[in-house]
Amino acid sequence: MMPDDQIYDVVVVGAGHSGCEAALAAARMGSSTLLLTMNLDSVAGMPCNPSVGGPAKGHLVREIDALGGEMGRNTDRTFIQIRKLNTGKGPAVQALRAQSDKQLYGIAMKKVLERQEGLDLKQAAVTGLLWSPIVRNGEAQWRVDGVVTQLGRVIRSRSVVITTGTFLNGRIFVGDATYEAGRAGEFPSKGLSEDLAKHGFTLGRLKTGTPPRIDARTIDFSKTEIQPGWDSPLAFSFDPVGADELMTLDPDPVYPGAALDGWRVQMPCYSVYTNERTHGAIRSNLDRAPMFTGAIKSTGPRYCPSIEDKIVRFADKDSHQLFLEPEGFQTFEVYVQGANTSLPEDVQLAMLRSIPAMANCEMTRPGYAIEYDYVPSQQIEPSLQARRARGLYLAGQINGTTGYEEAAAQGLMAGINAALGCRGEEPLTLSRSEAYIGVMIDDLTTKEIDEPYRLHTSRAEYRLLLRQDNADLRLTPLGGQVGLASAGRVDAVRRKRAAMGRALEWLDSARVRPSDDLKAELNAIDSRPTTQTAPARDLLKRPGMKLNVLRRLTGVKPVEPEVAEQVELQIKYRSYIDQQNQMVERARKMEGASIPDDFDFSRITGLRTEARHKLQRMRPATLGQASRLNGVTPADVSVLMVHLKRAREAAPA
Amino acid sequence: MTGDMSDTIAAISTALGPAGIGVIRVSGPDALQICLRAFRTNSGLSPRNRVATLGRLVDSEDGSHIDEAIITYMRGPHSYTREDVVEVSCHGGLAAVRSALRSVINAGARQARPGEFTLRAFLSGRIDLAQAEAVADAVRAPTDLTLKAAEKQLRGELSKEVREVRNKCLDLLAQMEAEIDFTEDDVPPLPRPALHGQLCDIAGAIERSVEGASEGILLRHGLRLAIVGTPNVGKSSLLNALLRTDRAIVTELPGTTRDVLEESLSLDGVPVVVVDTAGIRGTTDAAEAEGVERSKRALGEADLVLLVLDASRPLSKPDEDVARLVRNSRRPALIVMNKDDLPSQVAATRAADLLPDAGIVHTCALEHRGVESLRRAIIHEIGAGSLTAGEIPLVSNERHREALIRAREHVRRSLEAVDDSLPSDFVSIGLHGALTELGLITGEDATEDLLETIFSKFCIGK
Repeated sequence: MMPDDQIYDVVVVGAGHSGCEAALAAARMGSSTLLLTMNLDSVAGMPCNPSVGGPAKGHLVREIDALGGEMGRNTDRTFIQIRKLNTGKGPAVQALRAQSDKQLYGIAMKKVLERQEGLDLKQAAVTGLLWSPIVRNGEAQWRVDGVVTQLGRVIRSRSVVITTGTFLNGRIFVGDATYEAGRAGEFPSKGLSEDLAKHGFTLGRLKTGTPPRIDARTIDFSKTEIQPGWDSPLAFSFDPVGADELMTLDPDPVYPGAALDGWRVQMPCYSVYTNERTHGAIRSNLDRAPMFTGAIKSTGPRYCPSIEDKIVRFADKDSHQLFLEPEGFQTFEVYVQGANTSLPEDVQLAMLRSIPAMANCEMTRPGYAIEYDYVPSQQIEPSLQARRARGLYLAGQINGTTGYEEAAAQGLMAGINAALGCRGEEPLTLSRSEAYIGVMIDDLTTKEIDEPYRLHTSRAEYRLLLRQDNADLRLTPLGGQVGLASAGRVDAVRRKRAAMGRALEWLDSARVRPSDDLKAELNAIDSRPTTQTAPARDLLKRPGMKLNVLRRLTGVKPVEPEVAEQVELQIKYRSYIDQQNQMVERARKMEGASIPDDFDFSRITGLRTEARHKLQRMRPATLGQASRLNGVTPADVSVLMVHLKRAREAAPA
Repeated sequence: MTGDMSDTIAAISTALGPAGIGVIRVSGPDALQICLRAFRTNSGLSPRNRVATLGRLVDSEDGSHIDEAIITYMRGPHSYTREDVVEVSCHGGLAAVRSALRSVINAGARQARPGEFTLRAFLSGRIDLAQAEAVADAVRAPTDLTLKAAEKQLRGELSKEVREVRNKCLDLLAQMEAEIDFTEDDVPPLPRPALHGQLCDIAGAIERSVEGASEGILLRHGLRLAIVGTPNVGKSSLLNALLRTDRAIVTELPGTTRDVLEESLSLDGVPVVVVDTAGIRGTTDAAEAEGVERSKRALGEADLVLLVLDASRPLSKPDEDVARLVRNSRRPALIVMNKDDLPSQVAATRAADLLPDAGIVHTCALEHRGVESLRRAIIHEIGAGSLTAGEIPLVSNERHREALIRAREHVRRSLEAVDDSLPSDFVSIGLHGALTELGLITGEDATEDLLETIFSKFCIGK
């Protein structure tokens, strides 16, 4: 514990998914760190779906893990099931998704936090920051020197990371009932919004929501479709947790179909479908939905719409799929995925009971919508440091995002950069061609977010390079450089690369003679037989062919499955990977053209007014970022190009 | 090339030399004020928008009279650059235009750099990159057909076509990306045959744009025609005959060198540079080795070779040597049997053996006989028949053709991915590549280097 009068390197406000990663990253990088939460009993809480991963989000978790974050490992410790999604699609969109035990996830994360050297975890509500005026780039700005708690205590620090989630002036809506809350059952965070606004920050309001939970004992599971976990080992972490770290319980027998003797104890999820009666119940009560009565004025996430929103927007669909997901091994509470709603409690129940499997169901808690303050993200730099306040970092929902994974990834980067800042080092920023994290943060700093931002695979231009299977190769060396990823992890990646190199070299010369064995293998993948000795590389290009099969046929010992997977992807998809690499190279020029911090867009007359305002407001750091701003046309980019070149030529070398 | 858009630029926009009028163009926020310092209207009133106003040019410093002039004020954005533009028409003599420009510059304008007016038109979004390039082409067009091709491009016909294809790519990409993001339940995947069909559509559209591009490029660059043959077969008479049949002798094409005798002419509107390689004698003489080298080079650069033979004397060893040079150059060729008026000493089969793939034309250059059929044979040989028939191709610029061909290759890769039953992800990569290539044509994806290259080729005043 640090004495009270000592100055922390990093204070993290909020112990949600973002705050936990920020605090762990900073402490692991050697910064003295304090993590403050309003409630020590709800660390790493999962107020919505206790699931982690999915397309793009699963990629984020892998990247967090590769850099040295905790989310992947904590999910691995506590999941009730894990699956691989999109196996029928391409390697770029395949993703892992796990259902966590909601309580165990928080317990496991708290355990990690408490045992982290250099990290203090304490309960306090932060109501304001310590601000000192400074002048930077000829502009009056602030430096943040610490936080002030609700009880009036002043804690000094070199930097502060704010990860307040939905708590800033949170307000809950259920039908016509509304009350202030951080999330159901918890206090909102008051004072901090006002303090930020007072120091020049612009704030906005966003909305998100959660579905009702129902009692498993009142579900007729025989009328549901069962969705079991994966029957072979899967893990988010590239460095899987040991058996001694697992936190699992025996699944309650109320849930049919649990896998008790597989590679790991797993529980299934169950799917059901809405019907005309469900939709009728919603439609006839739309006048009581705060989304439509105007009580909620803010925008919700378009890609995670409420059920009433879906019924209105997709009026021609007569059925929507819902998933019933146990919230833990031993709780009877079941999450109804796909049924986010803020309809009145009685309508929620009627809607649920219209589904045969839930005809007699009881709600344990109703769904609700929550509105909260956020800081529109043009106010942060790509390092997540506030543009107008040195030492202040913002991460997670406060930046307008939605989702645990999006929050955790930002928390990780904010923690890394706060720690680097304390050391006086340059921040770590990832490019769009390096990581989904880079895509997300670039989007945040170049797009005006007016609805909760969720990451999608389609947001990444270079998907084929940013696969979930190669996150370690892409990012662990960077994690090692900043002192976050352990030496062991960095070394493992080095060994993996070397093994890949050797396997590729082997493919340069290896030839496979025709044999009955080869014939059988080719037959098994529906590939035409070969009568001549063939280069192993050519055979590997055939769909379904595996590297280790070819090695066995030539009497060479197999390589690790992770190594084989990388080599197979590189050989099979080489031309496509090359094409994406060319695109990256082309884009690099634009990305490389940096725009000086003090560049005055307002003086460039060739720009259209809309573009000039947008540029002045968003302050892109590179020409590439400028080109991605909505409302900036190619012609505007050309104008900028010309002016930047001129500015460069005019500047003394 | 870099220009500050906030200042006002001026340049002489007409060719220098004795002429009836010369035009100084001024563009920028202060165009009118600057010109008013150098110009007094006869009426004493300020010039009205889009009205030609008579007055006199004065020295902006001492007020002394320079010349009588008409100024036309075009208020932005309805002008060439979308800025305020003033055009001053004064007498065309060198001294007159120079002092007029000096006066405007003394009044506060900056001398424009080459292509800067067009650069401003491009940067203001009035024209796209392909159109800007067409401006340069139109200014330099040596023949009426070349001008037509440039005008077609300037009207935006290529840009329109490219944009349509680009939009098709974008539509298809949007569908595929939705498929990538959502489960099959939300977004039903595009059936593979439909995807294949749409990709074929796109490839076909690109294919059609490239059609005729080689003829178009011929219009822009001109045809290089090499005339070869031993001394005294009548090469010079042939050249004169070609020149004389078409009186439209044109200005020199840019980039032509003069180390061999070159003449520019228009062949039914197709600009042609004729390279007369002086006589090639036997290769045994060391002193002439260099001449042979030069001829070889001329052959290598030629789009078409005319091998001229003297029909009135038997084929000689030097004739065969020259023919071998032509054969080795692998350029398309025509055999011209000249001196057709004299009794023929060369059997047609013997001549045909020299260049088995070449057509044969009989001429008597001195009497200008057969020149018309030679001209038709040339047009036919270079595939420019459609051009002279009035079909102007969409593409006349090598850069555009290359971008289109690369775009088509990208779409082909997408088609391959569909054929290999690869997931949408792989299909989308090719489409992204095609989008970028198409964007290079219109400037939607322009890079700094590209802008530099294009606008540095302009002359001052455009």
